[in-house]
Amino acid sequence: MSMRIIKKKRKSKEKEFIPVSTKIDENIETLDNIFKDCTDIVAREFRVGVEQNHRMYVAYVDGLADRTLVHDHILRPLALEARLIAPDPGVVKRKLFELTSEGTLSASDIKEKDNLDEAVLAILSGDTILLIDGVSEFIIISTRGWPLRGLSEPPGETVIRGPREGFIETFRVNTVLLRRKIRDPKLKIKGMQLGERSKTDIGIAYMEDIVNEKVLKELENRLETIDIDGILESGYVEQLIEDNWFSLFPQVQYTERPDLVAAALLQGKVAIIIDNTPMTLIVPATFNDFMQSPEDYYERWWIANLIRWIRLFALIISFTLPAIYIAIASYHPGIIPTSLAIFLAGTRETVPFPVFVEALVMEITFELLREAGVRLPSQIGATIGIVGSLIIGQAAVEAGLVSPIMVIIVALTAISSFAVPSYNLNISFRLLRFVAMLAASFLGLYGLVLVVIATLIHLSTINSFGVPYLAPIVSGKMSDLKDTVVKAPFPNLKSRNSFTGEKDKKRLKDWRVDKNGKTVKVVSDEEENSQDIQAKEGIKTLKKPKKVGETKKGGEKDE
Amino acid sequence: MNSEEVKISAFQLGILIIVAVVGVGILTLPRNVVEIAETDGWILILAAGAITIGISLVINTLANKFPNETIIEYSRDLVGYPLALLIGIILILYYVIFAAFSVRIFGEVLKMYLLPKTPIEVINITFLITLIYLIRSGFEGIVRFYEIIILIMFIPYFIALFTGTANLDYSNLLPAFQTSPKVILIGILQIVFSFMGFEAIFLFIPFVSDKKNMKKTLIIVISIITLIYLISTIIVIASFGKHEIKILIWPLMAYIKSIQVPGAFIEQLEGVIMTIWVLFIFTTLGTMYFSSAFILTRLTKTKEHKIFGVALLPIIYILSLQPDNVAQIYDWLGAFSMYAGTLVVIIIPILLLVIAKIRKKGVKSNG
Amino acid sequence: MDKKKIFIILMFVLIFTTGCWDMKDIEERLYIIGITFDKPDEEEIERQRENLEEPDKFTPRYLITYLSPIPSAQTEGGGEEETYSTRSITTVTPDEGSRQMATRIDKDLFFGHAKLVLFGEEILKDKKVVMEMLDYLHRNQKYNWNVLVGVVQGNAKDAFSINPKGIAELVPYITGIMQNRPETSKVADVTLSQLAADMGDDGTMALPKVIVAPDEIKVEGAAVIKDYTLLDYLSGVEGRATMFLKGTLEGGSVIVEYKNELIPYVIVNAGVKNELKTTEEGLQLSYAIETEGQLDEGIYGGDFVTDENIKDIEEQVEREIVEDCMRVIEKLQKELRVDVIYADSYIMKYHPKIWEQIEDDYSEYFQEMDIRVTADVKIRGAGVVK
Repeated sequence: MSMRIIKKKRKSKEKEFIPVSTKIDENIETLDNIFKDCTDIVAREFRVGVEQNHRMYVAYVDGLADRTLVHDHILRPLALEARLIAPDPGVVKRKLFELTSEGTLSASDIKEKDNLDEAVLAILSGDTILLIDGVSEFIIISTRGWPLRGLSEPPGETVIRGPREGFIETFRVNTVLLRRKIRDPKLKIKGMQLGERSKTDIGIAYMEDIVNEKVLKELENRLETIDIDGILESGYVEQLIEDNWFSLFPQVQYTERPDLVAAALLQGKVAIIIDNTPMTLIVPATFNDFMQSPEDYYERWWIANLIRWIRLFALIISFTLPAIYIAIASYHPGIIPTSLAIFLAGTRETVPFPVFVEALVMEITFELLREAGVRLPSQIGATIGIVGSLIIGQAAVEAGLVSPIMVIIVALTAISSFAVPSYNLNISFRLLRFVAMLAASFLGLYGLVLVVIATLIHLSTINSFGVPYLAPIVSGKMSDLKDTVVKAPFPNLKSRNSFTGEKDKKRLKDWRVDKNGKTVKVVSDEEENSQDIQAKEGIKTLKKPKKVGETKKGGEKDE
Repeated sequence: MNSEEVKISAFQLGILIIVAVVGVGILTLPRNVVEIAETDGWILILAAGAITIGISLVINTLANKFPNETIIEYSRDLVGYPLALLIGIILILYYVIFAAFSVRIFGEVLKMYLLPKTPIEVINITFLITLIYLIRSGFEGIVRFYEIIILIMFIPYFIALFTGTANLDYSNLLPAFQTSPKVILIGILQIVFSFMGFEAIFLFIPFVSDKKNMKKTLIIVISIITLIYLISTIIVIASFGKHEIKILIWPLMAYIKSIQVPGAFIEQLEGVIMTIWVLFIFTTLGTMYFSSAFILTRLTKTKEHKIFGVALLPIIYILSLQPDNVAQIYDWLGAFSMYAGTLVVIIIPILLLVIAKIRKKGVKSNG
Repeated sequence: MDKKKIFIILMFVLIFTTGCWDMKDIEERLYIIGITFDKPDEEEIERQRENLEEPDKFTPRYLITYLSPIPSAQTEGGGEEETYSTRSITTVTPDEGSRQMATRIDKDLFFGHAKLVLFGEEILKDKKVVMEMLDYLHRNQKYNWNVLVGVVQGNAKDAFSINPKGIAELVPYITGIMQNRPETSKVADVTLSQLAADMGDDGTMALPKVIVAPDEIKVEGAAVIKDYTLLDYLSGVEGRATMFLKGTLEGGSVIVEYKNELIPYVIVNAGVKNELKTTEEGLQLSYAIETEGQLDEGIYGGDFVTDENIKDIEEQVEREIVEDCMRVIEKLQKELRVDVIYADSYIMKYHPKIWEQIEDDYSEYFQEMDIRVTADVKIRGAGVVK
């Protein structure tokens, strides 16, 4: 059951219109008032012109604007060249303005505006504004240049094979990284700003002719309804636009990897790039997406499949293993082989707690250790996590408080949970694990089955932007199953899956497989024209000459 | 939820039918067929499957005459309002009672093999509550859930079934063709009720978007069910022989108990199989429960089925606790499937189709 | 919406807090892996009767011994400590046994891991008791149906009191021997499900015979059960012959005398084909045994492996097999008058019309039946030495 929340669009605040007066002093005063007590704003008045009688005023934020740009490309040309302008107040002013805006300044990104309110925003974004005395417009020059982090591989999404670039915190750099991957003008990046005070730049990226229109429309609608004071991270946006906020499962994917975003866009999905955070959102997101890593496509067929199955298995283990242990130990000891049962009974004889208490305590301890490990600096954190658990586990066993099997189970569970590529899906199952353990401790395997069923029901009912969460397994079309549990080899992945890529199904033309799906030998042109092959395939050597003007009838059908 | 909103494909409805039908019956099926026809029991299954295909095609034709209406609506058209209401009520009763029986049998088997001391009330209640969660997710949710669960159900089931085939004595299936045709004919009727559940299509066909595939899907799907039943029965008979089977209440479980998984990490397979079996019952019951809530919404012309779902829970729960003991359960179930089953599954659809043809109602189908 | 959710949560909480009925931690159970049924001796019975209120109705009829491993001893690596323990009680019905044990030990008896059930000679002599035991083993779901079954010549409980050298666990030892069928033709493994299937039919069955020596166990031959009571024993050779006729032989050997040497013919596989003919004198049933094998021992020095020799040996083996079989058939037909060679099921399956006629008086027909046995032996190899 999907929630259809009718949200109201936020009322955008009327932009204040502060007119630019022709008297530069008034403008300066206005700006000074607005920027009272902001010591990082650099504002300077200067004069240009042969007779140095034209006043100009420049303002920028030190650190946000690139000082070299400001000095070399704004102040210097003005100071030098404008000297040559003949003095005639009216004409000069006009000409000066044009000179500056149309030629003198060697910066390329120049806009003219007449609303001082925008000047404020521009300054705060790192641009420089130029006020000219006697002109009722001002110039915004783009001079953004603040300290940037170098491009590096995102720590949370490392792959063995693949590019090692990751998004950083600057919007423009991120869009650049994306553009480099898809050099198609159909890659559209629509901009908007969210957050009353943060005015964060948001970019909606999609491929115009592939994208699923419904999802795009829905996304835009939802973004329009966001009415919040500040967007500090993509998580804010994610929580405000997802379908089921109360569900345990994430419905929006986030990633730091541009190649993942590019692949998603080519599938017909929509990406949301947000300034100040490297985490880019991708919608719609299905369960399958959370279980994939980009490597799946870079590696060859067998490896990718094997790893996919291992991941699924790991997910199941991290969810159910402790619960299974509790169920078997407390309720159904008949299921395990006799020697194992005897062994378990023997090791547990000294343990004072019942099975489920033992399991609960160990699991909670491990969660504590894990959280603690996250806070510590990376070197120590990792070590503490592993060593800590081992030592504590060992000590507990020797003290006779837990059985050794329990320690093994907890360790296995923890390791499996790390095999899942996305952190957010991981967390959902960590929580569910406890529910399963609880159910197993009351009703044994039956309880566990009920919890699993309930989880599956929940997964079946939630949607992510109109796409069922468990797509493509539940799409009702056999062709979509190609890329889920079993990833088909490249030649078979010719069409996009029906949920997101309806518009442009064909994506891959693989000559190795002909229209009936049979593998064909690929030969080069010279070979193809050689006699042997033609003789083998019975092709007549004479080709019908084409009449001028006759166009070839449409290409071969790919499907 | 009206038929214009939710659309599923024929493939999905097919899956719904498979999981809805394969439920409680499969446990006792080998014994039932052997009791009637000894080692020719498998013939009964084949014949019953064929008849079921026939009836489902009848229902399909009937549904195609009224493309967007469920049986509740078009029966009004065909036999007038009061009779249609009666049909509706009969159907509801049918589903509710069937659901109650299934829950009870499920509880009994669970108690026997997995949780001996847990009171049956607890088992029933927890089961029904989880079911309500399924019902509330609406038709689409249910169908999607079934799509996933069908794999989880059948793959382990068949793996388990086939693990035990190493030591089978297939000669236990002989002698063949010894029973008289008369016995077989009468017996077929009783076995058709193992296929009960497929009639849900007369409620759900309006939601299918590609109705033209329905016929093919129905045939394929019911053949699959027949095959499942057939394989299970043959394996169980082969392993125990006709004498022994007659005295085992749940021969399928006994078979599972006798399997030795080679080299294994699982000693008693039935623990695992029982948990898989919970899924079987869950799907069957889900369909029944949902159907009854659904009919109620259609009868009362309300929009939401959820409230009916919750309202029916106490009824089903109380009904499920009515029989006193295992013997009574199966006695009553036998009588119920005979009478109510025949009525709902055979008589009503055929009658309605005949009336539709006579009165020339409904959309002319293309063939 | 909210009220409903609260209601549901409340229900859950209620249910879950009212108790975990089945929860019994793994170390609180006693895992029975072997059971024996014996007839208690007279003094014991008398003694018990004195304590009973209604001695005539509720006489104890069983002496049940439970064998269970001691978990902590197992995990600490054994050593001199006993790794298993046995307990015996006398009870009125088999199921009562587990309840009576509850008055003596603190743990719950768990039968899911039981592997072996042994019957003592004496107890198999009373039909009612036998049927009661069968019912017990089948009706409840506590036992796994691939439990192995055997009959002990003597008191079954002695089988559990021996202390074989170097063997850590007793029950796997016994069941292991039973499962040695591929090695030797003198052993059979019969599981509970087979017991149900065969005995359930007409009370006729052949069960493996177990002989107890002071420090070891021997499983050889068979105990013949007719009409739910123990009739007699078949020796190892007779047992083997029976298995030939049943077609269930998987290994073993037949020793023949050849040129004054004893040569074992090692059986690799063996099967049987039956055929039924009706003649004026009655029914004629033939068993055509087919077997393939090899010679692991021969005559050293000289030309042993020649076609002629092999064919000769084959004939010898055939004769030996047929003789053995005829002997056993004679015994079965005339002496014991019981059909443990599945002649009845063959007729029932393949000649149902005839079966219908003879069903009721089958034992008569069985005695009169003319049973013929032929054997076809093929020796495929004879080792690596000429």
